[in-house]
Amino acid sequence: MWKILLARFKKNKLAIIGAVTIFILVIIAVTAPWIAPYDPATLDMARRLEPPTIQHLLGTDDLGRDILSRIIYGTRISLLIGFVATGIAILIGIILGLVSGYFGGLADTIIMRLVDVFLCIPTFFLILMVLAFLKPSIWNVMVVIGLTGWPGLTRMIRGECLSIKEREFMQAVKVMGLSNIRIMFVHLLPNVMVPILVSATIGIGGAILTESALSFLGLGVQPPTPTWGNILASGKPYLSFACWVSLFPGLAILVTVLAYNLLGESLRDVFDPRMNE
Amino acid sequence: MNSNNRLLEVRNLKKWFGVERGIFKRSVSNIKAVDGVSFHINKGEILGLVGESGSGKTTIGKMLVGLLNPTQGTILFKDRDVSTMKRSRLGLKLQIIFQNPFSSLNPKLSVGTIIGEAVRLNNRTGDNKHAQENVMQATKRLLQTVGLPGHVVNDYPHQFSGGQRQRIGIARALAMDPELIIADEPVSSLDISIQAQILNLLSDLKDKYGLSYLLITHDLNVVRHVCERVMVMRNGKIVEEGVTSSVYNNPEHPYTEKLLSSIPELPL
Repeated sequence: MWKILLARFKKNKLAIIGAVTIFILVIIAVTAPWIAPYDPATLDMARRLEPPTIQHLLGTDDLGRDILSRIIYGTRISLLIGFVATGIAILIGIILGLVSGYFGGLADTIIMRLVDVFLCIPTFFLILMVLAFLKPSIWNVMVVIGLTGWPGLTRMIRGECLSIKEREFMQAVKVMGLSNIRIMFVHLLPNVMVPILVSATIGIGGAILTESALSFLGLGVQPPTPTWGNILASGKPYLSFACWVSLFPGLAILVTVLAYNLLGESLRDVFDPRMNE
Repeated sequence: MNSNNRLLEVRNLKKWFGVERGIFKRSVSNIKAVDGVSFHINKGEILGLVGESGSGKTTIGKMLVGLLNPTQGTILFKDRDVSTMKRSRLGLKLQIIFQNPFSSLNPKLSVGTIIGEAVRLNNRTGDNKHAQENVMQATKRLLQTVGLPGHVVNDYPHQFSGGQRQRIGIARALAMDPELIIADEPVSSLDISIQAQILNLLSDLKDKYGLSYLLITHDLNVVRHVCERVMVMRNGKIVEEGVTSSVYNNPEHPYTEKLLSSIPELPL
């Protein structure tokens, strides 16, 4: 079964592009201290806002720091936030979705109304408000983004569970007398893993974008820790004559989010049996 | 026939499904899927339950294994009311084989996991060092019992044919070491030649493990070949019950007569 999927994956060009890009980003994040040409925090006031040169491939910012190095270090923060925030959202989504879809009844009603309530609130403004009260550290940002990402996932997982639950193999394990926990996690969960994987991949891109937006507004990870969002924000006053300060972190965000979306969308195609041609 | 020969006894079993209408879910009427059914199954017996679709056969099967709660009536297994039994205990005595072999096996789990789950539950092997190995051995033995090679434990359901899947389903039921198996249309989605194989397997297993069956089917030929007694069901009620040969030769109820006359004659 995995062989067929792998073959279909290899045939899908967009999937390969997305996966390779993400792989490279992960490598960059892991090896940041070795591949970054400069220390991201070293100031060099004599070389403020220099355009891209051989010494500084992507130029320098308003404090003379090397932008390439800062973007490389920012990869770590962005990917970390993407993974952890999405991980939190998925964990909550899986638990609530499985409970809601498997047990039905009162639990389902309560969880689904809760989802409705959360979907009514504009997520980004909720995150802004919460972070305005909390100290905007990297952990707070991750947790808050994660805690607002679950309602859509929960609803989707519940829907999948509802259709799987009626299949005969689910009745068979019920007749066996397996515990509900075991039925939910061993027998039901593997059958809803594919849509979860697809949403997770796209969700990581979304979380990175949200973090960048927060950092841009100054409510995300705080300087001097470099993140793509706050590098972008630091170039705001100089856009008219030193656009590289904002341009390159913006491109990094674009490429990353695009890669996750490409991978997510094409995973959906790869796993869809109807795409079997 | 003494009473301790009785494995299962059903008294006045009813299942009504409410029909609700409007935003207030007003109960407007009931569909009487099963409407006052009484019967019993003896040890080592194959009891046939025939009837057209919608006659309530499957509903009875589901109530027996606890997938549906009866609206009224009692089910006694060896003189014990099953509604007072825990599901995990009931599963060790009553198992079910499903009609559709394509949806009755979890597509994401290997055959070894599907059957091993039941073996583990039944044996209560605990956490000792050899537990994993023992479960694997027992699973392989079960597969051989139902006529499949033991090495298929690592294969997934989609790699098997309908007949083979049905054998896996039977192995899963057997793993719980039940005394009574509810076979809900076990062969109706299989080819004629495979049907015979599966039916033979079921009757071999009956002799080997001292099983009893409730065979739910709409196929009167199947019933004639394997069942000792038969019940004919219509609109939630049992209209006729008796030894298979006498029911087939001298049907008393006009509906049974109609059913029997509708068996297609095979040109032999």
